[in-house]
Amino acid sequence: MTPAPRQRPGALRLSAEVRAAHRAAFEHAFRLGHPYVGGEHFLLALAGADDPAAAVLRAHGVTPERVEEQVVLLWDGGLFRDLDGSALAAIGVDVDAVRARVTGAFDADTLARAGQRVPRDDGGPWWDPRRHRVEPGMHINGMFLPLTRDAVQSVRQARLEEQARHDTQIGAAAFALGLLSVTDGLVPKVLAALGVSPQALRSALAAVG
Amino acid sequence: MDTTARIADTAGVAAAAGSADPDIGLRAVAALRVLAERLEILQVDNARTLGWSWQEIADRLGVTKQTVHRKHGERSRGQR
Repeated sequence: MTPAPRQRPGALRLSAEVRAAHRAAFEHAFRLGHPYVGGEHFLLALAGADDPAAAVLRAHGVTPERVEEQVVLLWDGGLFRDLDGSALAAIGVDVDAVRARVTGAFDADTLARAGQRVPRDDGGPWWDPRRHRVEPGMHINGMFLPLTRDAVQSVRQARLEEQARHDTQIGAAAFALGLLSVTDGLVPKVLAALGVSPQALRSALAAVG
Repeated sequence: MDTTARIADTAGVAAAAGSADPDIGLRAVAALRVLAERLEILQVDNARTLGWSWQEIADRLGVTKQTVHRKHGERSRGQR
């Protein structure tokens, strides 16, 4: 009998489809010229995959073409990524309204240039012990793109979905459910623009094994 | 809306940031700071592209031209 592969207790157990989707999300972000990987890139990758969860997404109108169209339309240069929208809303600042004004007033090139200059979270000055925490991101082929906060959150949610389903690893359906349960970031906006109900999509995905 | 009214408006938001729940209040303060920083990058770059001097930009931001140049100068030079 071969021993089960040793794994860190908190390690992510991703299925082959989800690992492929991660790589595809990175490639989508790179191809679109976005300096980060966000939930929207994961959604694009999942919708274009070849598995039952992807079929459910496409049956609900979440096709790669339509998602990409919205991602390009909603592109703000990354200037508004990772902002705590709910905290700002609680004190009466509507980030979406600010975003709409800014994207209406500036052209895409100016936004992209400013977005690339948003300082990376490198952990602060050298004497700060917190500096040595690892910035979440993806290394592929020697390139690094940071993950947005909503993307990190979706992975965390996917793990909860996996535990709730008593699966041994995170499959594409659990990963998609995790992605849909995040309220920050572009994924809810893309779905709203496509006229897709997240609830309907969730229950359809939950039925996928 | 003139500058004074706008500043008063910001003050209103800042007063609301005194939310009774420290969790919301502190997170809102941090998010406001990040939002302001990013809008500053956008606006300074745009002003420089339109040919504004550092002194003119600094006047509007309410800081010295040395401060704004130290913060944004290297970035703007890289763009040329």
